[in-house]
Amino acid sequence: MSSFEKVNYNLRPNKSIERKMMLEAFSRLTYISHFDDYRYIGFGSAYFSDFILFHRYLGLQDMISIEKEKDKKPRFDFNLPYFGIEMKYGESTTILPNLGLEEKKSIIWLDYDDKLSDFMLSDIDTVVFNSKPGTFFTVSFSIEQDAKPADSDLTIKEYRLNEFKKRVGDHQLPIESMDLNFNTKNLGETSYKIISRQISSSLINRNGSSTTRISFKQLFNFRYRDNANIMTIGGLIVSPQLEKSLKKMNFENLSFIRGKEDSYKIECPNLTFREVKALDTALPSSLETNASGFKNERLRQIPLLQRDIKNYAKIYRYYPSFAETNM
Amino acid sequence: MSKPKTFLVDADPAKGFFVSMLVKDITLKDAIGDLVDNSVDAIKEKSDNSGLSQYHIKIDMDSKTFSITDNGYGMESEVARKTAFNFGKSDQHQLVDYSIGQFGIGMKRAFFKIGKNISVFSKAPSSQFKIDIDVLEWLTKPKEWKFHFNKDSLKENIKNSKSDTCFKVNIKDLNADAQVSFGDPKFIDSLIKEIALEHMLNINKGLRISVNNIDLPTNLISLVNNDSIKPAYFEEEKNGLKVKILAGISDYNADDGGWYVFCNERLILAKDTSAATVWTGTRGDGVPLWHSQYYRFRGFVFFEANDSSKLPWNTTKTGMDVDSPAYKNVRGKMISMTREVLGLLDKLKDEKTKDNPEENRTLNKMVDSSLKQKSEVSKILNEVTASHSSFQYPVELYNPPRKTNVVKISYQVSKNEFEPVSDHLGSKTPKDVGLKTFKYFYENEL
Repeated sequence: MSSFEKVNYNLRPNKSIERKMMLEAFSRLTYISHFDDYRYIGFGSAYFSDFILFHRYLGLQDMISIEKEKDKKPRFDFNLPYFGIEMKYGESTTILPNLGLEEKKSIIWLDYDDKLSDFMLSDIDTVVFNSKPGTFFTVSFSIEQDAKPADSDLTIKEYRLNEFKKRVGDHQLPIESMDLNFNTKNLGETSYKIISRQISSSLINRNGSSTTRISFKQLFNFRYRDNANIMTIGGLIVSPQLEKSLKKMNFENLSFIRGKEDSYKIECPNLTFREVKALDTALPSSLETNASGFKNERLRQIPLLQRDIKNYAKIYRYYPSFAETNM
Repeated sequence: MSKPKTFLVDADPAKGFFVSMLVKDITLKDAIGDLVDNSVDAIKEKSDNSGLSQYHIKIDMDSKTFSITDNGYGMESEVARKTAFNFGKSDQHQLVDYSIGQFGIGMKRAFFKIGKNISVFSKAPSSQFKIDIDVLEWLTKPKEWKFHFNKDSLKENIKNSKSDTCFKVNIKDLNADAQVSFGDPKFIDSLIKEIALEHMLNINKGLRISVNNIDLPTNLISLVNNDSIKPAYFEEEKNGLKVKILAGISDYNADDGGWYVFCNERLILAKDTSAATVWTGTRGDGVPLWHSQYYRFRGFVFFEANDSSKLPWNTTKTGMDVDSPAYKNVRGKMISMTREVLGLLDKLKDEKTKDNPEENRTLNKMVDSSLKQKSEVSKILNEVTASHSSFQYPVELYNPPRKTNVVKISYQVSKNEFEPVSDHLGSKTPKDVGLKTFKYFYENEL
């Protein structure tokens, strides 16, 4: 079963927050050019949550969804939320090189369900090597540690190393990581390292001996957990001509922007509607505390853990509102 | 008195052309490999047989500089003067026994490949010196092929303590490709992996090699070696060239299988699955092309020669000299030893066909459990008693599927028809549904 059949995508609160944060960052691309000049490329699955959000709020018209499960075509076609979305059936590895990435600026979100694997690195290479400067490129993948089957003779450390090697190949694994136990933390850190090495290597090849240096400005490094631990890395493909617009976009003033190996952790607390309402009326606010709790009177009145309130304050503008509806 | 100028022909190759040709045929990794080989030679010249654990080769590089330092024997000023900085070695050059840096051109070629500002410092038992080379300036002097010791740096007929000897190379003003690659973490990573493989035998003996402060890991190579499965072995010495060959099986692994060929302990071919060793395909003189059935195969060849010019490798040490009679002869041996092992691997595949139930695959079971009893290759080599032994395995366990009175039925139905039937039968697999529906027909309709 594919992951879209296991979980209702609409009910992944942390992912939904991530999506809205991404939306806020993408909206600043207008400093480069109008969204009419942009195209969205993603994996819409059967829910198309990202497509709906970006069409509604950015007005993106040109949208392509890559879908590998050809045999479920009728179901995907049935669920297309807007007429303008073009479905491309096949593996991302063969679809991406045929999209003319060098001709039109894109917002690309390769939202893989799986752990980092060799084919993803070749997708990253395709995008970074070819995409028109101004393209915003994001990739999400699982960093959930491998659970060792009961009948394996290996130690947990050996098992995880083997599985990781099987997915990415011996040669991709950085030599200094060979001794690690690939629990979620180390799997995340090493996956990050492999991806940033792939990006810099693709750029070296792309730039060759040419004098205009194309670079990658990393802006996203999210981690969150709904049912599995997920990592998202993203950023802008920049040419020297875009440096000025990059300054104007002023990404640094968005709290969730991360340009290096440390991640922004999205931790959405589980709250009732009443709690959400009460919190919202108190925010934005200083989160300073003293011996009796928050200095802010309104926040202090709310019977929640300080940690949950602080986590909520970080993400309240993006907090999803789920309700059962009859639509 | 000067000669009449009209009779002089300028036979000097243009230096610039010469240098650019020299570096075209070598990769950056191989250039660095050459410098490492020289360091290994210097270390072996200094070491006794007690292992290499007090020796260290330190390599550091970034997009601006490159350096390599070792605490080996150093280079005597006399060697530098007469041979090491010459283009091509003179006949008088005394090679270190069992050396791997035999072509003379390697060190200079590596310098030119990497950068334009080179500084060499050497401290040997009875002399020390420093040489600075500014390549661009050197190229402007068409007839001069010499390098000069730095003034005041040269000291000869001295006694340096054995623990102090060393050799250091620093290179600045890197060439464009070196600037790019040395700043690329992926390049550094694959360089580390390559050197770690090439010098695995020395690293296993304790030699420390580090690149940007990362110690190169040990690579252990091992084969199944127990009472029932024993690798094939062959050794021989001819005209000062010694060869030892081992062939057998190990883990089922696409990345590690194939032939490994060492020359004076330096790995020349790693995990080779090409026609350069034995995998020519059935139309060639070797064995069938490498494929998954052979992933367990491992073969190891160790060439050793006191005089390294007898080793059958190519000048860049990236492969074998396939035309050399010595290698041809050994390759023939490798082919027949490979065939011995493939005999077992073919039988394993036969046994594994679908219609042979798991419990009947006795040879496979035996081989799977034998993987827990692997021995390190160096240990196997120490234990050999005969100069030649064939590959051994318990052939009596081979239990191929018998052609019995069974027929195979295969058909397809639509999912919509299949689902209610499988639900009704409570069966999960199509195979089970097929068997149950056939059984029902057989019992009720006949």
